Amino acid sequence: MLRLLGYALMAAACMALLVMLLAAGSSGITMHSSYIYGGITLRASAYRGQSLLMLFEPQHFFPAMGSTHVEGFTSALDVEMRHTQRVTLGLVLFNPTPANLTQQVSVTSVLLENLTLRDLSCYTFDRRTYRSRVEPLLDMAAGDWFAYDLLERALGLAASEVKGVADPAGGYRVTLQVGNETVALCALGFDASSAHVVFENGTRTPPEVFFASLRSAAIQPRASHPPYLTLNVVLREYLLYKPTAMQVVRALALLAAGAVLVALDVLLTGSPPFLFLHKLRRILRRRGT
Amino acid sequence: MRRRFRLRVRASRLATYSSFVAETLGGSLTVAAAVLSALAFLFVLFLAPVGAPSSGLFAVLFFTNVGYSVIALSGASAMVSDLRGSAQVFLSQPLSRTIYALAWLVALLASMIAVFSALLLSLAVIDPGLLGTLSLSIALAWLLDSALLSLLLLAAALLLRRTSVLVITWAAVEFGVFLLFFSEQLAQAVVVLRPLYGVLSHGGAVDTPVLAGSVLLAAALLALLYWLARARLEV
Repeated sequence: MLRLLGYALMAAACMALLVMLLAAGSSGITMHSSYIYGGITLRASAYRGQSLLMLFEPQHFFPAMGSTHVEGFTSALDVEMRHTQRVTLGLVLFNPTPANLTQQVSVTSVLLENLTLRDLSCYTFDRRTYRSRVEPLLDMAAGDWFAYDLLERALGLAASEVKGVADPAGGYRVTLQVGNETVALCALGFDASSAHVVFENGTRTPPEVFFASLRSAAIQPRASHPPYLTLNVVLREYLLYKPTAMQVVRALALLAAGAVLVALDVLLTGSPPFLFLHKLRRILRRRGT
Repeated sequence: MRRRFRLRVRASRLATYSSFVAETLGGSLTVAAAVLSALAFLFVLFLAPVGAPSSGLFAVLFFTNVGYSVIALSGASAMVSDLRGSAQVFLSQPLSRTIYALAWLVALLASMIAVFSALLLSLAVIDPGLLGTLSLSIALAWLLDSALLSLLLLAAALLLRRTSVLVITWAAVEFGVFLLFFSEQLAQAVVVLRPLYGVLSHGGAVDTPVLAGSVLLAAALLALLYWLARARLEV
């Protein structure tokens, strides 16, 4: 009976070592992927000169991201932007009526055309720093399209920054690893120099006029209704397994323990090891003849 | 003195014959246990990080339990074919009827313990912290669940001696019982037979009365197996 246990442990250890070898040979084993296509809710956005800066939190789409505490596993995020000439920005605008002071909320869909994606970067923050210092800045910037400096200050508190790589099709892609105590924030930089804003009723306005009208409080965004950006985005969150040295040591120890159990059984019973292999060989030989 | 000697001889025969069953008569019992142990590592690797520390871990336990149930089925059907074939040779002398039946049970339980040990050690290889999420009651529920199925299949093998009946029994216990869990009253009774399902209904822990009920049921099935071995095996 000891050898049965020994074989079982050896089999588990061999499988463990095989998987670890495969994972170490490649750049890790990817598992449990989940995807988001199409649109993203923005955490904060700002306009300055001809530049638009839009931030989004990937963990808003993947709440379990970075929550695994199992050794050797890390959460990873692939962000890919393609074909960004036409971007739809959905806004809930607050429109006070001057005649009476009752405030009405009108939902206005605004289309931003000819925007050019200039850069894509993703940042990671220590969870504590993010909660105490970054989130308050983002909250302040969420309802203010001119809070460019606030957003830049928030990004300046990042622990690491990964810049997107431009692909030949004109898009950008970035891969980010998110640890247990880490929060990710991605920033999209747009060039709005040749852009124009189209309202639901077909009215066209240059972006500077549109944002100036926001500033003049004729219409304002609301922090409780964040802008929704529809563009060709693919977000992919997955777990990446890379074996640690301790895992390899533990697998080798398991293999040794299994071998000891089999050897012990062989010593106690006197029957040769791997009898089932002889039986298997006999069956195969019989089938061959 | 004589009695102790007899007991030792019986234990030695039981150990020798159950080893023979596990490696030779049981067909692929050893190979199947080793393959399932290897698969258990894969289950742990791919499922344990999901919703850590709980939901993925329960999936690992359930998949391994289903895997073991297939081993138990193949073991019991090997016993049926042995009873129809060479069992008479062993049953004439020096093997007693009860030792013959118990040897099959020991072989099945040994492969169950081997699979469960491989599962636990796979958890330890990946992350020793995962072992802490597996409570004693859940481990006992897994072991009792598998042991009850083994006892039930061996009793069916001795009683009816038909592989088709074994397959029906296995399917009824493995999947049919699950349907009864939709009724709350039936679930409370059936969970004694499938204590692992108690993990689902009690949110990650199994009640002590359920485990005690399962132990009593296992003892009753063991007594039935003993009686069947004495009554149904010809010498």
